[in-house]
Amino acid sequence: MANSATITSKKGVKSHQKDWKIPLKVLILICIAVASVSSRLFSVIRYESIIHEFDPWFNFRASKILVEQGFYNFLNWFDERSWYPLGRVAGGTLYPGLMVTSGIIFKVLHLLRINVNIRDVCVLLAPAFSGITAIATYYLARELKSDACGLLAAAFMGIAPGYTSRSVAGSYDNEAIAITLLMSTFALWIKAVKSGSSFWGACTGLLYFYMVTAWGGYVFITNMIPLHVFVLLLMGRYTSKLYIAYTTYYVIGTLASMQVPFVGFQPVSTSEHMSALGVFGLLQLFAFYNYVKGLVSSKQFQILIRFALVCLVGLATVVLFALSSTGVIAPWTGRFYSLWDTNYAKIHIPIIASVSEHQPPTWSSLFFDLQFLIWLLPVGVYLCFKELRNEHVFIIIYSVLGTYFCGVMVRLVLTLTPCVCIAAAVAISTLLDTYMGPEVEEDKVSEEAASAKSKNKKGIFSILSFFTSGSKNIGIYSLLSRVLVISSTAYFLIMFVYHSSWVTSNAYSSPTVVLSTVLNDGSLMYIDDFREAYDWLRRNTPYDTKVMSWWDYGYQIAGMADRITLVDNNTWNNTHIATVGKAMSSPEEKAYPILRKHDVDYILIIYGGTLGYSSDDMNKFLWMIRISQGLWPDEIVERNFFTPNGEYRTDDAATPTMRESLLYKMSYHGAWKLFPPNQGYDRARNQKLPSKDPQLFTIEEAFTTVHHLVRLYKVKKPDTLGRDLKQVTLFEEGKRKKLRRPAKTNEIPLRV
Amino acid sequence: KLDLNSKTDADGVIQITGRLFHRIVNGKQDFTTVALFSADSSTMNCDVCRLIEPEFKALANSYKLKYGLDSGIRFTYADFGKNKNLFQDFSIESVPNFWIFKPKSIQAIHVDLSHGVTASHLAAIVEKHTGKIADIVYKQDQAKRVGAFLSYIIVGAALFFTRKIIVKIFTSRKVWAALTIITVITLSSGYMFTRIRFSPYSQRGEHGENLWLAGSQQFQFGAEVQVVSLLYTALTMSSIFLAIVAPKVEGAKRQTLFVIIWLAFLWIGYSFLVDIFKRKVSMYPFKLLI
Repeated sequence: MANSATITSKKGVKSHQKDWKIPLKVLILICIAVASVSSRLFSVIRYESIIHEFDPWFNFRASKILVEQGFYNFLNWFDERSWYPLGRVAGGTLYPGLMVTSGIIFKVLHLLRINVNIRDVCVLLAPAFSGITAIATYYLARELKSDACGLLAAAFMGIAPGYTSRSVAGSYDNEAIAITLLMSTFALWIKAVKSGSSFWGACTGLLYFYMVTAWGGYVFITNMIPLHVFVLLLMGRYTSKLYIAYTTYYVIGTLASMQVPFVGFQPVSTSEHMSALGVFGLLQLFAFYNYVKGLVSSKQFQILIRFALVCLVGLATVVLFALSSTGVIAPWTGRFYSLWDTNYAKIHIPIIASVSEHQPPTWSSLFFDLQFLIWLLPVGVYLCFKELRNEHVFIIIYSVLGTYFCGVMVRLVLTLTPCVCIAAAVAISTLLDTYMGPEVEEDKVSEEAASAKSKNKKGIFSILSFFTSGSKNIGIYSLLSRVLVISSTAYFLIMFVYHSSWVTSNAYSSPTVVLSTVLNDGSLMYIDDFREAYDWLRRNTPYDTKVMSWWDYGYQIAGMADRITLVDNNTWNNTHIATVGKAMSSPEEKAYPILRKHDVDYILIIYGGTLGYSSDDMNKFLWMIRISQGLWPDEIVERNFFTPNGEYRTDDAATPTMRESLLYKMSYHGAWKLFPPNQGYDRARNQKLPSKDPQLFTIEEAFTTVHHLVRLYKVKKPDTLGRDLKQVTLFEEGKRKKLRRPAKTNEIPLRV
Repeated sequence: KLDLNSKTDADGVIQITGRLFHRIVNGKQDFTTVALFSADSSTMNCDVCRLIEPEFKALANSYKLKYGLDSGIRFTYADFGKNKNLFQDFSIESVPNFWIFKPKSIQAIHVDLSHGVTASHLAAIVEKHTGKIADIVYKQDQAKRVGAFLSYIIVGAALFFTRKIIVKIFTSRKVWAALTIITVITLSSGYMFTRIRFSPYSQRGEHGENLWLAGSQQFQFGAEVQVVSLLYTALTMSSIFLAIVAPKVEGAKRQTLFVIIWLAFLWIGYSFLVDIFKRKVSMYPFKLLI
């Protein structure tokens, strides 16, 4: 009776313990999700609920089309208001997952009679999905070690700047939901491999399909999962579970992904997808091998296997040769190829090399985005090697691949961040488990005393025995050790939270549309010139006005000003971009025919010389020159824009080619008015303004914003008398001189 | 008259030194000159120069094989280190430059290299200006070929006789763990940045001091990769010792001392890391010990 009572009480205790753990985990996950969302709302709180990056404005326009005109009109959308006069087949060239997600949420909320604007859905979509990402990370990480590890990984993932940088409120881009889908797909894949269930394999495939609809980076999944399978096969870990999981995932995922108009038949015709198909074939061979092995005797089997290998190699060679010669298998795309051949982009594709997020990162930018997680990554990898189950193999591969790709292209810190969070969580969780573990048992202490003499003899080799797996795990003796290590870890974690909040707040929550600066008295001043200019365009120009600008501002002009653009951020037509670059780089008499041919009404430029804004058009000018030189090497020569000393000068030492170029004239025209005489200064390039104001003949200033940041120029119509516009201008000047009219005092006071 | 055939090397290229170029392109020459102005990659960081030089040699060799040395085209190569006056005469401020000089002209035709620097690209340009076509043939050195063949045999034999050891190494968990961790630490230290951008190892400061740490977050030197790699390695080792090795140390006093030492190591390393990060990101408000 006494024994049974004891057993009963033990069971009761265990049952009671399990009962409160589940609600606690749910509560913690909810808190993590809330923290994820709230850490991304700085921009909405400070400024307002707007789309505030370049690319997302197009996604917002597409979402409006979807909500207002329906799904099929959205898919068939031909955007005649961008890339004028070409237009753009927009619906068939975008990843619809982001817009469809917003559209569904919009419809559901309206079904529930919650009257939201589609813009608010778009602005808050990324923060909302970041909470889901944290939960998906939890499910993936807990497979590696424990629930505690999963919760740590979720917390890291929720606030790590590497992920918040692309998912703050207002950053309505494909990455907003893509990382959620990435982590969910990986979590389901690990579950499928562990269970060998075709159900989970199918779920993985369907989520992969969702990912394909959302982001071009789905290729990362396309190659990660087959690489995981391939490594497992090399390790001799073929099982029917692995076969079922991958076969189901690959077939369903690939067939589903072909339904995306932008993808089509790429899964069977491009190099990026060949590894997935190859591993699929390899698995069939493994399955066949194991099947036949069970039917035939060993001698017959060896003969059969040699014959099969010879036939297989011959057949594969013939097929590969035929497919390559007929061009069925397409070569690598330029952007993907630049990940492996790091010089490719620099030489062949100036547009790819000109995008700042395609540059390699320094160690400090990785530390900026990940802080102490980046040096816990190797620790986590080491711990994965100790366990080395199938899911640990996955994280190891993910860490090497993610680190390499991120090392080549800084944008891919986004795909590396989940892996770093998980590995760091494994490391921290192991450390805390060790120092929060049970007390050292007394009998071990007595054993130690008894064997003290024998231990002394082995003193030299005792250090080496630490690394052997046979060494006993005693535990931590003293309270001092525990307190020191746990408090240090807690301090590091707290510092990580502060670091992440500071980075997200200061570096990633400032919209490029609204700038801010600190005045001398410490107060904050907002610079809203972009919206001011777009507002002017929307109010003062006809609906069919064509605006030429560099492609950075194309989506914003189309989205905020609702005007026709020549080039935008899609950068799909290199010739058209080069044409705009040529117009900007050429003298007025050569640029004017280009403007006329394209029906340009206004030119929008960014001039940062007054404010000291360094991302202005004059600082992007070299890329305009290089891109247009690529197509017209005889007309645009980069060398001529540099002084004989090789300097990029914009003051009186500027070369004639520079001084006569259209962009130079538009930038510096009238800039001297904001300064006392002879004290004009370009704060972006730290050079004096040209002493002679550039004179314009074919265009005239239409509007300049309050801080002189955005400038709009109206393109003049041809003279009705057939005269050259330069002659017209000179004639009018002469006429004005003869009549001796007083010069207009049109000085604009500097309001800074 | 200048005997250019004797000055042409085995690849069909004339190596320019002294006043030779002005004697070749003197306004009275009756041939087209294809000139490459470049810099020796061992002395200067010029990635495109390293790419274009073997292609240029293949180009010249292809014309030599097809037309001999009387194709009416001369290929000249000028290295910056040996022709500083020549570069100054032509106001050359950047390398590489691929120029064409027509017969009886000293006016250079500048060629844009942004379309590619492979021999086939260069051949298309030469064909455009001379009307002569040559299929590109890359030279195969016979001695190198024999040497390569022998090397393959030796390496193959070595691999065969040590195949058991090699298999043991490749199937060792420790070996793969070490390789993976080294790779991850190296890549996260910004190694690819220095490789892609050809960052210098260090730089002279304003007062002649040796700067190993770039003062900007957007740039880094080669020395930084090594320092940060060492730091990350030290922090990794400290963490592993604390998490895995410490529980195996017997004796309360020894274990406590072990933990305190490696924890101190961790704090010092991490503090130093945050400090050098702060030197690159001046607005960073946080710090550890120092």
